[in-house]
Amino acid sequence: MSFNPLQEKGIPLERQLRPWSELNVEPYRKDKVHPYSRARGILMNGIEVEAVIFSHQMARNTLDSEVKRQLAMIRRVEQQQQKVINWLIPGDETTIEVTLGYEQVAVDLTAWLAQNEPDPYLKQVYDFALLEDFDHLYRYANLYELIEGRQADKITSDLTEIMPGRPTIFEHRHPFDEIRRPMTAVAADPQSVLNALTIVAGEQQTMNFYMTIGNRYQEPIARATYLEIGMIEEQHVSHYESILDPAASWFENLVLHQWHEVWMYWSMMQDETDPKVRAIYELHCNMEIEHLQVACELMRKVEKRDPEAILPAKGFERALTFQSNKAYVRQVLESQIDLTSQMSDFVPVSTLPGDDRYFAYQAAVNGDWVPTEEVIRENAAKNGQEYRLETEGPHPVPGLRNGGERKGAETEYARCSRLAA
Amino acid sequence: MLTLVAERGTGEPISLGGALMAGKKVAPDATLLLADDHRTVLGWFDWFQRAEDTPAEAAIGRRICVALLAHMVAEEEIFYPAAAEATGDKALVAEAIREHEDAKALIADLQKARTVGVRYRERMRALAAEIAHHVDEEENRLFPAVRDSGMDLYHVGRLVAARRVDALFNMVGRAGAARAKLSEVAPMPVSKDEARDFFLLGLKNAHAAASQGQTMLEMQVRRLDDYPDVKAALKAHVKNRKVQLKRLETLLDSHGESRSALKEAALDFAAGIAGMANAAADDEVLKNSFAGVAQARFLAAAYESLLVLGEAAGEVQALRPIQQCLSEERALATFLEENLRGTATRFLALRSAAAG
Repeated sequence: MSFNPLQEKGIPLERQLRPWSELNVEPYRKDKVHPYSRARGILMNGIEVEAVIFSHQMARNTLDSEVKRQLAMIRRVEQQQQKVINWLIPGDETTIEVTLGYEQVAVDLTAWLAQNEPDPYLKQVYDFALLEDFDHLYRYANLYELIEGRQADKITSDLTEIMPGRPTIFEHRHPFDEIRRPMTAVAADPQSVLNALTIVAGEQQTMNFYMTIGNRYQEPIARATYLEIGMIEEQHVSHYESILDPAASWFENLVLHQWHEVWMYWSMMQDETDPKVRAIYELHCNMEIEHLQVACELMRKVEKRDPEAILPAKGFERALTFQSNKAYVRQVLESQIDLTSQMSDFVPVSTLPGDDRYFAYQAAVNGDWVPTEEVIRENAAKNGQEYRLETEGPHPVPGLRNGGERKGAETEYARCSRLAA
Repeated sequence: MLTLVAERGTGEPISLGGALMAGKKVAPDATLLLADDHRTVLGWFDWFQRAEDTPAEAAIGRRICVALLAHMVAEEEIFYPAAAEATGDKALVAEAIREHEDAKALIADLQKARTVGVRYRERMRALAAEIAHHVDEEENRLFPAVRDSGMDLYHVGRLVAARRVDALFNMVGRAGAARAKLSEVAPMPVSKDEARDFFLLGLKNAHAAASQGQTMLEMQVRRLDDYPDVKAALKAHVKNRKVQLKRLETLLDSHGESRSALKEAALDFAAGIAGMANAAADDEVLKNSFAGVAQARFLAAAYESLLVLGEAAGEVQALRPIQQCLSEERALATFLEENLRGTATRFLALRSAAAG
């Protein structure tokens, strides 16, 4: 199943513009859509937003007006692609429902990337943040039940379990400890480059989304939950973007972005079951092939470098896929729940001295009121118990089990924070 | 013979010029960049016509003069010589330079004027007509000839953009007065063959200094356990130096220079560097800090002059790796200088603790 976009023929750029009537697609039915079909749309929206933002940044660093025009042309098409993808979301899907979709993407996308990441350090980078996004899903699921009176598996089905991950309250770390070691794009496995570009785009869009829509609720607990988790998205973008190769030139980045977009649409095409959506992915894939070739041509012309030198000769060999990752997530929960980070390394929280900047940062932001803890308390008080979806047995970490099942067990995080206070 | 300018604003790594040379910005096609300048200044002539009052006219007038001067400097020093060489048509370029002289006389007049009056406006109209004619000549005759010649438009565009921003900086920038002297160095005719010989010699010397310095760095790294920040920076720099040596060797290899010639140069040249290292003196850490700064500045100076020699020798492909080397040595020197006070304090504290 190999696919090399450099050997394919795309749709000529001037034929890529579409009229409003074609862009204004019919949205999916929220009670009919497959959760992973929703997930693919959310992810591809993030990919297009990154494409647009990157192109704007490059334009601001470009002195050549002809290159700027080419960037503007491709960008206009990418904006149209973004509209089509994001307009698949129906207006009757509430903001928290869309949010649950975002967090399901975060869990099952990150789990796939971790299992398909050849570099062990980068795999650790994915596993680390996986447990944090997993916890966000649980917090928002409780907010959903508290405010809208529905249960989250109406949105996520039973493909993804919903229970605590690394508790959000403990995820707040000093910014210095969020910066990872970068890869070198030319030396890295091509899969590592694809993985990193995917997660940076996805997390960036989650950050954009929460920072924009977090204030659309009147309920104080909803506003506060979005605010607190929104700050973790800032951490995650810093965490993930620092693995990208900072030495890559603007053209290398442009070529890599376009190459990555082809891979994404090609991957999404493989699994999409809705024929109308599948046709969109196929069309966009053919557009992206042309974008890649235009980017390669610009690189040859301006930098006098051969883009083939930075792209693998073999083409793509595996497709990114959304699948249920329950066993994998449980295994990471069991083995890594106690990790925190120091500079660019991951260490057990119990190895931090009491005067570590982690605890100072925790004290500064958590104060005496933490929204993501409060939302669980309020929902349990209102509905008799907190919301969980544990389909594979009790939580693998005893300290994170529900009420009586916990039997006095405590996580290392809880213990260390108590001692530090 | 080609004309060489000593200071082209391409040396400072934080400047636009440095960023362009090191490939960190997207370079412009030289002809498009110059044509954009034309559109801008023609628009400003219209703006001058519509100005509401004399203070506004004066401000727009100043802006037009400065922009034109910077544009002309970059053309005369970089674009025209490159265009003459690429097209082989010296007459076309000579005509353009003659037109510049007419424009410059008008600009000098405008800049001398104390007030904006009838005479000032007349001069401005004359300048606008002169420039419109010049633009027409360039865009319809010179630029198409240059594009057809196969000249590397982006490489020349890099140099033109860097030189133009440097000229603007000198005229209106905050540090204008302080930098004026450097830019007063007039364009000078130099021989390409001479430049090539000195360029190769310079490469060998830089190689000798860098490899000698490498030995010293490695020795220092082993002795710096009490100064972790400095140790980490030097350790990282050992890697940079290895790459620098490789870059220099690649350039020398491409000219068929033998490796044994490198050894001779090393013996001949690098004794000064070796003498800076201090093995086991009481205050070796301090002395080695001074030596580290001196060495990095020494290499930066060598690389900086190589940029000029390389350009004069027509070795354009060498400029980018050398600029990279220059940026690395500058960064190390700056880091060590910024840490000197800290190192000295820590040194004293450690010694005091040992004594007490």
